[in-house]
Amino acid sequence: MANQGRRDRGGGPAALWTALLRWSVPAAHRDAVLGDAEEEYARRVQRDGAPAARSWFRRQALRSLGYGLRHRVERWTDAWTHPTRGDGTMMQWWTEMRLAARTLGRRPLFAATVVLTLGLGVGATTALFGVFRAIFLEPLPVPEPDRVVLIMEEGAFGCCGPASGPDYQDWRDRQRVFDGIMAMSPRAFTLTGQGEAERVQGTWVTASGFEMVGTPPLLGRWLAEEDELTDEPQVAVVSHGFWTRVLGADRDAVGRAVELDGSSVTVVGVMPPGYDIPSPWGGGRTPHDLFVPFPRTRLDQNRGSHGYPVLARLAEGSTLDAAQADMDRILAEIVVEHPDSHADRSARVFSLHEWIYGDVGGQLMLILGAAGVVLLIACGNVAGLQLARAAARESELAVRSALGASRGRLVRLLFSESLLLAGAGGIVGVGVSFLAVDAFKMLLPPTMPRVDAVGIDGAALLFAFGTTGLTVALFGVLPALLAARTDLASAVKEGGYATMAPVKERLRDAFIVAQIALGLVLVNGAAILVQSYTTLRGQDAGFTAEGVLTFSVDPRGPRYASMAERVAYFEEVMARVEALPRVQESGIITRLPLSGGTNGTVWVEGTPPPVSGEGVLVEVTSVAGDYFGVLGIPLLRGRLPLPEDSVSAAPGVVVNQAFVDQAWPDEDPLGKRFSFDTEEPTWLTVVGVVGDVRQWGLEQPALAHMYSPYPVGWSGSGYVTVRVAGDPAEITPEVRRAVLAVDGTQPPTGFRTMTDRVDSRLAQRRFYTTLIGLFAGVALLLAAAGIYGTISYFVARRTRELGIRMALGSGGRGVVRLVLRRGVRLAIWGVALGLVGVWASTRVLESLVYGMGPVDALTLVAGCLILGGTAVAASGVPALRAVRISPVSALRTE
Amino acid sequence: MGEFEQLVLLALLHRGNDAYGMEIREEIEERAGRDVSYGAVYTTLDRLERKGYVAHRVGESTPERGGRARKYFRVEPAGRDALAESRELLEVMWKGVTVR
Repeated sequence: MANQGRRDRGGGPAALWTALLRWSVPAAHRDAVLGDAEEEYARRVQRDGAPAARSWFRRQALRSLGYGLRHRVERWTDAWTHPTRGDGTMMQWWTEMRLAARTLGRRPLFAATVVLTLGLGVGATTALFGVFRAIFLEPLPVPEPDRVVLIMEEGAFGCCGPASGPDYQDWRDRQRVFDGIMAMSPRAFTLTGQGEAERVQGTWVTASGFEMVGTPPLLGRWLAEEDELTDEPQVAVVSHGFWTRVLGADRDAVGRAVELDGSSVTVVGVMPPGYDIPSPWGGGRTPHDLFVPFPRTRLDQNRGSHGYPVLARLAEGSTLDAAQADMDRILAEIVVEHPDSHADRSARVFSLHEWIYGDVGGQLMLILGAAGVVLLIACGNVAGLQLARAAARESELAVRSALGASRGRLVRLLFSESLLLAGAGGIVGVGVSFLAVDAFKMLLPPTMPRVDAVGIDGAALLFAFGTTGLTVALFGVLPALLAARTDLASAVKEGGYATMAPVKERLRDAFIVAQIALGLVLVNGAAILVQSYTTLRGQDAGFTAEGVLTFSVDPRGPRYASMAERVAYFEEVMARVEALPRVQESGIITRLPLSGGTNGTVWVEGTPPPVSGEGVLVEVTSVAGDYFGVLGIPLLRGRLPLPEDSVSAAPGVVVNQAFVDQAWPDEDPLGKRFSFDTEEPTWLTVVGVVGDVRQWGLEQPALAHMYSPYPVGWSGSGYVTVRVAGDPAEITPEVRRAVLAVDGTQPPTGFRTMTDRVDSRLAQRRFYTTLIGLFAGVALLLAAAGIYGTISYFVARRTRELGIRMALGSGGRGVVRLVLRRGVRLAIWGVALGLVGVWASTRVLESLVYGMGPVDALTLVAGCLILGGTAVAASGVPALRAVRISPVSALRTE
Repeated sequence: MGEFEQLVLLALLHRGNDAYGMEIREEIEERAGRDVSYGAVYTTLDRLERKGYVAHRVGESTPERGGRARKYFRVEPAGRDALAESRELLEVMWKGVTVR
């Protein structure tokens, strides 16, 4: 054609604009419009030249777009309100939809089941997506968070630990890939002089990291290098929250002084709203109220003292790999320069987001995956039902086709029903997701970051919409397309008794096999997680949590400069608390069980001094008061530590059984000595042995542990533990008042019952275990129902064929075996595929299980029996029924 | 009746009540000085046709149109009535009103 020829020479309007114009005009006039536009275009090329004509054409297309959209909307609304108007397409859809609605209305139970199933599937996945998005997909509160990395050290101790001050300085001076690099160290302060004393969270940050910060302060300035010269901070940059809450959003706040730990600190800057430097500790959950300069003297301390996480901002265009390579280069240099302290050390670069949310993300992905599997099984179920219905309607479809219905018309007929069901399912799903998200929020462990942000927003609704679309595609379109591809001749000829076309049969079989397989994977995963949880729950942590209240005290300021003053404060606190009614006893410890700790290797007297990285690794805590009594930790030998033990030349300490087992397996440990220092040993004498307590979490067995009487190894802060008659939570206000009565400027913080602390260690696990268990149960039920429904329906449809076989002399047993063989084959395929899936899922599960392998044989066998057995039974039962009736009545079966 | 609907009908009448899309577009452009899009013209024609105000016949196709046939539109009696009614309505409303 001429037009084609012109386009080939590059003179025609671009295909894109033609396509846009085509879309923008009413279908009935499409040819005329394109013809007109091309005709005018040709004239304009003659008159104004090709470029001007092309630009005119482009404008035409763009300006027509709005009309096209409006026209479409108009036609749609018109068609729905007056279906008889127009070219008939709408009318047909309308008819189809009403027909579908009527058909479904006649089978309300079926419709309700499908809608509810899909609604639950869509709702659960959407709600989980809401959780996932809020917790995992939300960016960190720094500008361009993708560029922020965390650098940690790896060594014989494993991965990963923070850097030392000198290490950080070397990295800072030698690196070539970062725009900014910053060492930090969290530090809490007591804020006084602003009403009631309160604890605020701060962090030391090095001034060198301004580029790392990524944004200038809202007011004032960022920290400067000269601020780092003092040991205690004299200036601070405060968060927007602190500025609003404490400084009353005063525009002149810069230059104002606040009292931190009893000293005056000048505010030099205010950060923009929402800004924070996320701490790599504690899941980034503790927002910082203030940023204070990192004392230079701390950075210059020895290379062996590691305590500072290092954050850096990747230079524009740089990558994590490049950063890792650069750090490898620097570490290679440092190892050469400091072979004694750094021989086995390397540095690892992590994306900060990955570091903080990686774990949570993995777990949420797992749950989302499980919900997705349930949704898939639900879709498979509905698809099976739709296929069965389509099969039953095959002759009807053939007749329609013979009477002139196009294939598109047939597809539409079948599709309308799916569309209605999915639409209703989607609406129910959105409703369910709102309810579910509230339920999830209650179930969500408080330890999960950003629980508050969880909700259903536009993105989640879009997700719901997408999921619904996917379900329609899965269970609606495919069966409809296949069913419409009926072999008309044979369908009519056989009067509706035709067996299905091979491709349809394969599809149906695939749905069944997939349901068995998916069901198995989920059931195994759920069984493993549930058992892990119960094992862990029943784990003896070594102490009695019931009836214990805990809180933390940390005396700060000039009044508590000396250890003696701090000790006096603690003793006074314990005395006042114990004087309260219902309080039985109290004690103090530097680290509560299940909350991690500090450890070091020891030299056991009488053995050769350990070389680096060897020796018994011992947890170090200091205790005072009746700590062991409060937590019910049994004394196995000897006596408990006394305050006098701390002043002797070889201080007396108490160790746990694990320590004894490692250091003096066959000897009496009492009176034995050990030291943390090998150069100038300070010998500690074992005066007693207590039971093992899990320090690093319920999953971790107890390490060797030493309890020293305070003030040996005392840092100045501690957790007070109080045993109470009755509910410990109720007594919190009284205890708080008692502690404040000692010194009103030293607020106690973190009041929690010990049961609550144990519980929160389990909460995250409980969250995903409950959900996955729930999903697995639903999946098993759905899969079994779906498999049974689909197979038995199709076997029942073969009654006539089976009757013929019987009439021709096949024995009943042979016929049943014939049908059963098929069911067994499906079961075997499903189980085999399921086992492959289980195997593939072990990698994900391995990190989450406790006290067992990632495969639960018993559950797997049970799952195989239930799902595979359902497939076999679904074939057998209707087949048996078919052979029991006489061939004659079988032949008459419709 | 909308203003643009009136413009399209009037353009058709100016062209001797037998014109195809390009001519209608040109007519409006020349007389009213408005650059209008084909999308606007044809969605309006489509609406007018559904209301029974215009009808069309399929005309000749030419090579420069890529072989696509023209569609010639004409104003039906109902369209003329509606147009006249719109004008009368406007005149009634305008009577006695000055805005400039």
